[in-house]
Amino acid sequence: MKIDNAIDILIFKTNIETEHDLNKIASLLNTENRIRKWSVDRQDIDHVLRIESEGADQTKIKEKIAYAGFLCEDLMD
Amino acid sequence: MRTRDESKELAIRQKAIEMIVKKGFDGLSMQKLAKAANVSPATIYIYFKDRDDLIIQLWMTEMEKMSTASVLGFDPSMSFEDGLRLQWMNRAKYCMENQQSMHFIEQIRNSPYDAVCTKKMDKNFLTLMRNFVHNAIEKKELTPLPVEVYWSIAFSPLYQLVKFHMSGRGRNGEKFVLDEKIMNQTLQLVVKALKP
Repeated sequence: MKIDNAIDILIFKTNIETEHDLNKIASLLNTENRIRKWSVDRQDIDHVLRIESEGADQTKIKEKIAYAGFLCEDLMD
Repeated sequence: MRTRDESKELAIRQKAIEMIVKKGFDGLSMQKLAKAANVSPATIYIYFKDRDDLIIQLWMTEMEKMSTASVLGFDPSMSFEDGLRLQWMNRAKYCMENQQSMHFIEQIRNSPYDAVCTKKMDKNFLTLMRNFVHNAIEKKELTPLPVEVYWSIAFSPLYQLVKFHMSGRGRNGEKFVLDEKIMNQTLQLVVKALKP
C-alpha cells in the first residue's frame, strides 16, 4: 500500500468488535470528506482503527467515536 | 502524525518473514512482531492495515524478487530449450540463495492465502511467460497444452530437484547435490516430453 506524503495515517486503539459496531463506525466516518479510507483490525488485541486521511482532525474523530459509545484512544508509540 | 521510515518498514518485513517461517502464520501477531522488530505496534499499522494485509504484501514483494531473478537475461523469443534452461538455472540459483523466502512462498501456497495471492501475480511476468510459450508453440518446439499440464511438466521437476538439494537428501535418504549434470539430464527429458 503506497502512501504519498499528503496522506496522514491515524491509528487508534478501540473496542470496535461486531459487525453492528462496524456499521455504526461506517456511518460516522464515511461522511467525513477528509477520510479517504479506514479499516478496523478486529483480530488484533487493540482492535486498531486505522484511518488514511488528508488533514482530518484527530481529536474531533476521537470525540465523534467516543460519543457514539466506543473506546477510542491514541495507540501509544 | 506518524511518518514513514524505510529502515523500520524493512525491519518489520524481515522479522515478519522470519517469524512466519519459524512458527507459521498463527505464530504472528502484531504485538509479537512489534517486539521482535523493535518498533511499536502503532508503527506497524502505518504500513499495514492488518495482519492479512502484511502477509499479502510480503508475498507480493517476495514474488517480485523471484520473478525478477527468473527473467535475468531472458527473452521470450529464445528457443524453447534455451529459454527453459535459463529459467531453470535462474530459479534454482534464486531458491538456493534465498531459502527463507522460498519457505515463506511455499507456506503461502499451502494456506488459504493462496487464493488471494494468486490473483495478485505480477501481470508483466505472466505476459512474458505467455509470450515465450506462444512463440515456442509457433516454432513447433512445444505442444499446445492446458497451462496446468505445461507447468507441471516444465517446472515441477526443477522444484522437486531443488527441494531434494535443500534437504541434502534424495529419495533413498542418501546424500544428494543438484549439479548442472543432473539438471541438464532432467531438462532434456522435459524438453523431449513437451515436443510435438
